[in-house]
Amino acid sequence: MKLVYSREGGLFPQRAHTEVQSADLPADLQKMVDKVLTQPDAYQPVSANSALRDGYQYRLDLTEGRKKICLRFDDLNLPDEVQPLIHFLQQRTGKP
Amino acid sequence: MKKHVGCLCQIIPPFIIDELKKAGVAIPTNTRTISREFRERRADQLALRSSQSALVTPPTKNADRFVYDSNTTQHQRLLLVRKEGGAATVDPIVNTVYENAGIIREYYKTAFNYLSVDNHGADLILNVHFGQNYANAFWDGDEMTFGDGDGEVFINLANALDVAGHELTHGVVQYTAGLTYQGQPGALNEHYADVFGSVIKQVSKKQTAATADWLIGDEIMGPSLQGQALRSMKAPGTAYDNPLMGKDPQPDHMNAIYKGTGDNGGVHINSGIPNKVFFLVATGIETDKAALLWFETLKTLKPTTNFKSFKTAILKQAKKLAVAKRVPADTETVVKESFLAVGL
Repeated sequence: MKLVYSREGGLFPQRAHTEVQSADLPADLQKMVDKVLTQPDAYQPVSANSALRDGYQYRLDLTEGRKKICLRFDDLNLPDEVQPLIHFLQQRTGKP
Repeated sequence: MKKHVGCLCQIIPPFIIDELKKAGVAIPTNTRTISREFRERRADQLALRSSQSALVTPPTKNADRFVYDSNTTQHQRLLLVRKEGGAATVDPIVNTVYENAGIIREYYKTAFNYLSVDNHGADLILNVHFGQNYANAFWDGDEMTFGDGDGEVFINLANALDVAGHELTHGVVQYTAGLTYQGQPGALNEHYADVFGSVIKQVSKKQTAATADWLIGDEIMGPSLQGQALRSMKAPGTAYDNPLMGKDPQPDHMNAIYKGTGDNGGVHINSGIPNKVFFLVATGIETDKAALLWFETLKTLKPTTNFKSFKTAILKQAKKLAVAKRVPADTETVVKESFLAVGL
């Protein structure tokens, strides 16, 4: 499975981006990604905060065969369960 | 509507409480109660403000400060660690952000007789230690939130007065002009946040337009980036240039305006153009007079104001304030020349 991660926003304009195969993720994150792929609706944020200023917007695209999942979050609706994955991917981008 | 059956309602999710307990952090029951009551009180305030009676007698509060520790989670209002009038804590970040919020509140009150973000004395909510190595700060429509930084590019973002001033001013803009966060109106929103972040820093350091560095965020830069900053109002596009952050993309003239879709249409990029205008005007008539002109203009702007209509609005206020002798007589000329210098 291929993951494409990007983050935009913040106090200064910066785009962070990385791509990774799920097989290259730590075991716990692989499990997490599998869960997202099978139950994507459970991870869709309720709503975005239109009043957010300087916050980050996160985008996660998962592709396995014909199946494509796109999840978008911001700092206020990022699910706790997804945070370790986002943290890992953000570190891979090499951006703060 | 479903009836609310008896359940254990709490602000802090149970799994967070478990993690905090494991880490030896005690969460007093009264803190959770205060948080819940606080949210309820704020909901009541908002409801009242939007009602007809609020138009007759606006409710006024005291702009009390509440500092919460997110304890490196991405949860706001997790642990109330200091509130208005409370004793200093052992955490210097908590104390710094509390003091900085007080300085900003005092500035708006003294300079413009404007109380808190909404001019109704709304409580000032500040969250610190948000996220893990979170190298950012934001305003979310209701409160301010600061990360600890990654320690390399940024150190703790709650330490800097201009960053706190920037975030709180997003609240002021929200309750006044309500500038949308896209394209040129969004760049003006960011511009206003930078202007008052810088002005409040200058007032606090007793600087003038000539002696100020006009940098935003220079005090949050990591050890290897000392001397750089997030933005330069004096020379947009020169604040940083390093492998960790890239190069500062801000233009200082309309001939280099960013036309792409990133950053909500360049809200943090094109703000360099009006930032340069403010620097030039402040240099011409002094910072406090320029700040007065900008603040009075803010109250007249529409959510969709672009750079051109912003210039018109500033000139109108310059004339009005000069007649009232609140700014120098040549202010209108200085403003015209400053906008011309950036191609407007």
